[in-house]
Amino acid sequence: MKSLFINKTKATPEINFNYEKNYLQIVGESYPENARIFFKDSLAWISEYLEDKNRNIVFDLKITYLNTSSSKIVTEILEFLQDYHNSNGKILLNWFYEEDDEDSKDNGEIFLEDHTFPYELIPFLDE
Amino acid sequence: MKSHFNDTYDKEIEILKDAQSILENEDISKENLLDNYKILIKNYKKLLKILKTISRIGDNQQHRLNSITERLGRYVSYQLFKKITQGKEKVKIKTTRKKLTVFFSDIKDFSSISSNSEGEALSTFLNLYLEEMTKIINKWGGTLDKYIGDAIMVFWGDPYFISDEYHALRCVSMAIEMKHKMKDLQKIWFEQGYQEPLHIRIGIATGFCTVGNFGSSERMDYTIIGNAVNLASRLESHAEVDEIYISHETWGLVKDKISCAPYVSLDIKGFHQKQIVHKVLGFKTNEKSVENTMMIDSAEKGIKVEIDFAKAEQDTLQKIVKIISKKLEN
Repeated sequence: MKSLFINKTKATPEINFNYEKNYLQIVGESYPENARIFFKDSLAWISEYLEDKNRNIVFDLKITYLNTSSSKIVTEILEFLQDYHNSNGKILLNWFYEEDDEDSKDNGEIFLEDHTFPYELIPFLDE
Repeated sequence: MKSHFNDTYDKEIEILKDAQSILENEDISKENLLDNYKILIKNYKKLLKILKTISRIGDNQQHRLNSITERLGRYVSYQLFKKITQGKEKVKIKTTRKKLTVFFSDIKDFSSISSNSEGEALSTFLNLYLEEMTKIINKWGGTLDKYIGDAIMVFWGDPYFISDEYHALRCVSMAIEMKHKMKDLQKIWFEQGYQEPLHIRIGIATGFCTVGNFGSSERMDYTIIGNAVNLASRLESHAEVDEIYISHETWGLVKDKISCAPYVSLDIKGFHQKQIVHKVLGFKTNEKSVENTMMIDSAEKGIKVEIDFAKAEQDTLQKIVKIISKKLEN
């Protein structure tokens, strides 16, 4: 299995899934015309990658804006992580929210509230 | 958009299709049916969870968008903000010719005051002034074009047009209220230790202007240009302190309701002919400026009254009526 890297564009985030380091990262804004098509490779990659339950994964999610269909994809990614955790896989999710932005923090809390895998909500300053 | 929706929910659509085909299969065993029913329930729960999350995220995004819109709205006039947010204003370079009434005001000698004042004190002072004046502008429905330091530019007639008379009267009424407000502010500033009272000058003119979006496709300003703009600005510079100068055309629209001093003809920079200018004295006798305010400013008849019914107490009003009644009996 190879690592996956997709460059950031105006409407899509950077995808950086590092197979060797067990480090996954999604950074940027996400409002593609068709989120399912944009995230197709990423979802397939995660699904295959999580089949091995012996990893110790760190996943950084730093999405500053996302449209509704991207939100649906994020819920699916979180479901994958939950299933992985339920199968005794080790994972830590860092959810970054914009400091001084209550709505951004609320978004993180809403996405994560029904999940039991370890996660942290971390503030950051948007440049 | 429909195909995108189908893509987004492709898994769920597939599960429903499977469930449908199982129902149509008459040979299916009870066990198999139950297994599939369990899968359907499990996925339904999942879908409900996603729906709940996405609905809440959607509401949150909407809340965020509203607060951004509200913040952005403070950088444009209320009327323009309303038009843009209602989707009626096309964001493109386009202008039209319209008759408008234009208002200019500034604080006399503000530049020299500002050079002798501390920045923080100056901004507190200026913001109080602009805050109070803006409340009055909004009350009278003016389109606040811009603040230029201590100067204020407002116009009537766009984006919403009612009638020339209506716009001119609203504009002059606003100016009169600002003039009165200045007296309150002068008291406040005096109490705060400003020795020299500050004064405003106001100029108003009516005429055809070009109104709309000026600028580039990336950055544009909704504003006006035209003779009436220049004239209003010049009249403001010519005005005596705490006085309102209006152009002859504005006067023609408000003369039945506003009393003015005998006109004067002035040489005004940028205009070939002398311009007839009127100094506003106030509302004509018995003219109500607003529903809640009574103003009579008729110095020649020995009457000068200003009552704000929203503030005035009942007892005080009754006392005034008694005094007047007694005088009438005598």
